[in-house]
Amino acid sequence: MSPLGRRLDAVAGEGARRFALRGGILLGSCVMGAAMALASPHPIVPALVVLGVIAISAVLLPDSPVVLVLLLMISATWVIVVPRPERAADLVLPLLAALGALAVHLCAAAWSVWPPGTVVPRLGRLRWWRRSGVVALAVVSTTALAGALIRAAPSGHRLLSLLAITGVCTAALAGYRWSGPRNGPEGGAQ
Amino acid sequence: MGPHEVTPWRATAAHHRALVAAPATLLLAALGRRLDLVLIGLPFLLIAAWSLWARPNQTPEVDAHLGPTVVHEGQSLEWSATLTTPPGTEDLVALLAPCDHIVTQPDSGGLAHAVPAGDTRARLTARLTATRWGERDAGLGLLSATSPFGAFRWAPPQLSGARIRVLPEKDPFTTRVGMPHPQGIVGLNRSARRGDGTDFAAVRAYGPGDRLRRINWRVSTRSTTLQVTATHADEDTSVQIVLDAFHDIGASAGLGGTRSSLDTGVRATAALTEHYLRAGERVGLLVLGTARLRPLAAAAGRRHLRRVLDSLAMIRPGTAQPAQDTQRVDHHLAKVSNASVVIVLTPGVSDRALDVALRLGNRGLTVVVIDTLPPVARGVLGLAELTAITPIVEHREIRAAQLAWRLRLLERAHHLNHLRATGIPVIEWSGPGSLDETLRQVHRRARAPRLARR
Repeated sequence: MSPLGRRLDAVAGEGARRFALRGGILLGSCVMGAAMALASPHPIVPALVVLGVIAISAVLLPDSPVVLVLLLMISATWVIVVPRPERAADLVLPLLAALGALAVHLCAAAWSVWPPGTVVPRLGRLRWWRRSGVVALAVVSTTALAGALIRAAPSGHRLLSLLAITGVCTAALAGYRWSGPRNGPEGGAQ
Repeated sequence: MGPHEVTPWRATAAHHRALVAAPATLLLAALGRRLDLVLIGLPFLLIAAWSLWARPNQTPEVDAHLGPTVVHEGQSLEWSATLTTPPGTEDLVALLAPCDHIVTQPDSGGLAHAVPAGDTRARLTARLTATRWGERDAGLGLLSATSPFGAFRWAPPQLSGARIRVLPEKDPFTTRVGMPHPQGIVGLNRSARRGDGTDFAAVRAYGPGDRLRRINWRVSTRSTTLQVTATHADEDTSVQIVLDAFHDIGASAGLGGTRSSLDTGVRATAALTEHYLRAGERVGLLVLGTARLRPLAAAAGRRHLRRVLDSLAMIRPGTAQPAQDTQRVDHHLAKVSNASVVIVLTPGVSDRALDVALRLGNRGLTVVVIDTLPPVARGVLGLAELTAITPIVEHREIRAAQLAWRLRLLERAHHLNHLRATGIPVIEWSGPGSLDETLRQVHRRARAPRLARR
């Protein structure tokens, strides 16, 4: 049997949950590709084919650098084929792509945490969902903020303004967590 | 198993991915003045930052334990790992290495535990069930703990296991027939000589040394002298069990499943030992073909049963050096009492085991051979059974191996017929009553008139 056949056999026999995580990587990749195809004014079939091959490789090898290559390739292709957003509505597709990237990254990370055949505890599942939700919410909020900046058209550079606001928010959040109660006897912010 | 050496938390591929993807995407955004790329890179930035903030700053300590270390077939043992979990430890995973004839629950051997926030200790447990006798190294495994988003992982070296001794489960066995040639001190078998016992022997005239309670008053009143009831003495017998462990023929699926020849032999030996020890007999054990196992001299008592079971659990078939084994066997057989009953359990494939039976029979001992060859190995063998007997490398070797096995079976039949011809019964092991008919025949033969040399 070929290496690919053995790999497919292993994928088929590893259980529903891990299969779902692989599905999450594929779904996230598809969302990113679809968002890019919709945002691009020109057909990008060759790019999508290449990205599709890399995405399938990432699905088969979630704990390899292929996932990083996929994310970087999509970002690079995005810069090339998608025009700069001029209206607030133009940020919807980048938001979808960001959520797709989040799904790809988190599914690949979760895939490498639990070995095949392990019953993942409910608390662990809930914690991963909750954290993913918080990050997704932060991305949506930032998108809304970026949309507001585009709509208000303030003087200055939009990108720098968004980066500055995002930096301030992140610093505030970090400060809040850093000054919070310390969990361990040795301290350490959690 | 004790505390393990300090192992640091290490960044995982996921964390490296976030650390590379976030600056790369944001750099592209800055260079291309792209607001939309900031959004795509933002999740990685947030996750990388969150992971770094929540990174555990202490290493966990683990104490793994497996017990009990001595169990019977079919019994369970518990593997547990207790960890101190520093803040930031979220997901714990253990993966137990598969071990022959040890069933792990869950089947995959993978265990997961989510550490609740604020907890400083966590415990992972797995239930293991031993399905076949023997000594096994169980509890080998890998352990890992991860921080939020799976960004940092702590994975100590492989957890050392423990040697588990699985004692054989006893087959059901009973017999209603007493043992021939009782020649001991105290027991349940009717001796040929007269003495204190329960079985009636004769009524005879009272003599010096007779106890008053033995006087038979009914007979005495009808005669002019005092008459006493004489009885046969109750004595024990020495049972010597010889187990052939030169070969283990057939596949073994553990307790309740398919049996190999040695499975049958070992469980039958355990059953015979328990039965005869409970009946007050002395039981000895000689295992042929296994290294580092001393023969057990005939003895009685419950502790001796445990000694026999321990010896059976330590059998490693076909590991004995022929020269040392022969010397050890000869030395032990020379000490076997002539009044012993010898039970040889063998699949009949090894000449040396059958030779032992023949030599003991020629010495005049009562020898019974129990054939332990599994029924599946008595006909044309399939690939699975053949592989259990001899390694099959190429497909064309199957025919040759099948032919060789048929020749071996013919040879075996010839040897067993030779044993029967010399007066040694060869029987099948069938649990309760397996020995009844044979022992009855031995009793009849002992009572029959015979020529004696003078």
